[in-house]
Amino acid sequence: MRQFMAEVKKTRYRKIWQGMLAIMAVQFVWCAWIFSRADAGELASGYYYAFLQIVIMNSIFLPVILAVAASRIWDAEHKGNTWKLLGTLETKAAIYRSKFLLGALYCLMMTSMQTVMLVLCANIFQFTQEMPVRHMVWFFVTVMAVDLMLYLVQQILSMKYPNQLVALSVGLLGAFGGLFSYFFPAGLQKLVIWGYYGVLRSVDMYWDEATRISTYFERPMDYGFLGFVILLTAALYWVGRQLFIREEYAS
Amino acid sequence: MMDMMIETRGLTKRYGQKLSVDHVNLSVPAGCVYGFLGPNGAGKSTTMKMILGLVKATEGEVRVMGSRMNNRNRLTVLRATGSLIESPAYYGHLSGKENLQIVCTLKNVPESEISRVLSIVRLEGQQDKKVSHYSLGMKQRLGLACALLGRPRLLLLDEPTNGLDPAGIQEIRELIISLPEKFGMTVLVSSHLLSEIDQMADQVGIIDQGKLIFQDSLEVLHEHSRKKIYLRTLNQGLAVRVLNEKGIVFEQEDGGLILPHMPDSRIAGCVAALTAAGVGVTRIEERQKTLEEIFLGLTGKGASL
Repeated sequence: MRQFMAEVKKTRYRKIWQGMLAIMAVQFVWCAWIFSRADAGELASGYYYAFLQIVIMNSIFLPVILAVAASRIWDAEHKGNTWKLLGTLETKAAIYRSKFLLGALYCLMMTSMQTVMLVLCANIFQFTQEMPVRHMVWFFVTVMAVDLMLYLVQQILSMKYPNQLVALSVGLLGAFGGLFSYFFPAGLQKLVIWGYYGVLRSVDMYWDEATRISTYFERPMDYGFLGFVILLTAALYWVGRQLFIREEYAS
Repeated sequence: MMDMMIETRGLTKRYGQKLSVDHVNLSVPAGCVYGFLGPNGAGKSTTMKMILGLVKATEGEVRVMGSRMNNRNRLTVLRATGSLIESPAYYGHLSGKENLQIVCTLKNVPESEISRVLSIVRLEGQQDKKVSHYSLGMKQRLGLACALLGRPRLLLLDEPTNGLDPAGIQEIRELIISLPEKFGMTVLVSSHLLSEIDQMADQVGIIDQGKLIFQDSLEVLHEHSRKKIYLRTLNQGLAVRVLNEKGIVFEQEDGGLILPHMPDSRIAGCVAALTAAGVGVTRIEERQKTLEEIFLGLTGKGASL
């Protein structure tokens, strides 16, 4: 707990939380613009419509904001050359764990805010669809799982490379890759981790070009793939931890 | 009662084929200022990092405050230590006080300690300033303040006066000297500057190319200098002939003659012989090897690099 509190204190003035709020604000404005123009048919599938919009926005914004968060959490140590001080105060495992927990808290707050935003949009724009609780829970769990996985990728990069441009570039390119992966065949989509927001979505849309009507429908919830993402997250945590622990405080 | 705050036995660090620290047996008595002296690259910082467990030793053991250091007890033992290794550590986006608050949190010491350590290092006036705006000297003092939090019994300082101006160097030196007396601390301070160690330390260890080549009190180090007799005369050429005839070994230096230390009766005999030969003797001085000359003799290098 002490180490975690120290990590929270280190992020003062780093604007990590402001960045998160800014992204949430952008997503809300986007949804507001979309739903203010929605017709009765779209409002009748309002939640499904919203899930799909957020999936696209998550693929664009979240890899970047997670890269920024991980970078801000780790680069203060590189810049201040604090490893030799921290090494006499806490174990490397504790440092790694505390920084991950802070990132996880960040992911939890973002996912919670997105879930609240969905409910807000439903109330403000008067979705006629009844709240699909199962899909809401699935949305929360899958977004959280993908967030944690991507945060760990960024944590490893920010930890390993003092020059944060490496980690930030990966986040930015990942965002592009994730978005474009939605055009890939289903099998290939699963090769691009930044596109997993879309791979794990529980709804889909069909656009009829002739009638110009979008129809929203449920997709099977891929529990197996969710399990894979959770295992991958655990593996990334362990790999990152080992990489960090093995490196000496030589300089 | 424990005599030694730090003991190392056969402490070794190998990087590939290179022996950075070569079977060092360090003994730092409690309550002293131990000057760990050596040229740059001699292995001082690596030795100190191994003592703190920041770098894994290839061989050997480390005992700190009587406990043999291992992964399980390392942090428990280090709770009673403070350290400043190589460059000072800091969070530049935070103020000096906020940096110390983080260290207080990690060391689990009350934040009331902050004003105490700031006054010791004389940084009270700059505590609310961002550390990225500090001068190097102020950052060094902040690093020292962090090390002093929690009233450690043992302090390890690696070249703490690096980059400071003369006034800053003197300030830090006086602070270090006062720590054992005022706070009962033992201080291990490393430097490549002989003059600095000469002014601060009670005990000295000299390391060169990874090997500990001297370890004892500063007085013993000074005693290692051999005394010599310096003679200046009005007729050096004639003086040389007279001394050669007497079989006295000497060197010519500084416009005079350097004789090895000898009993007073022999010196008197030399002076009498010179005077009898008509050589006017104008100076007779007893000279001792300086610490610099001792260091040069031990390491083959100058007193600082």
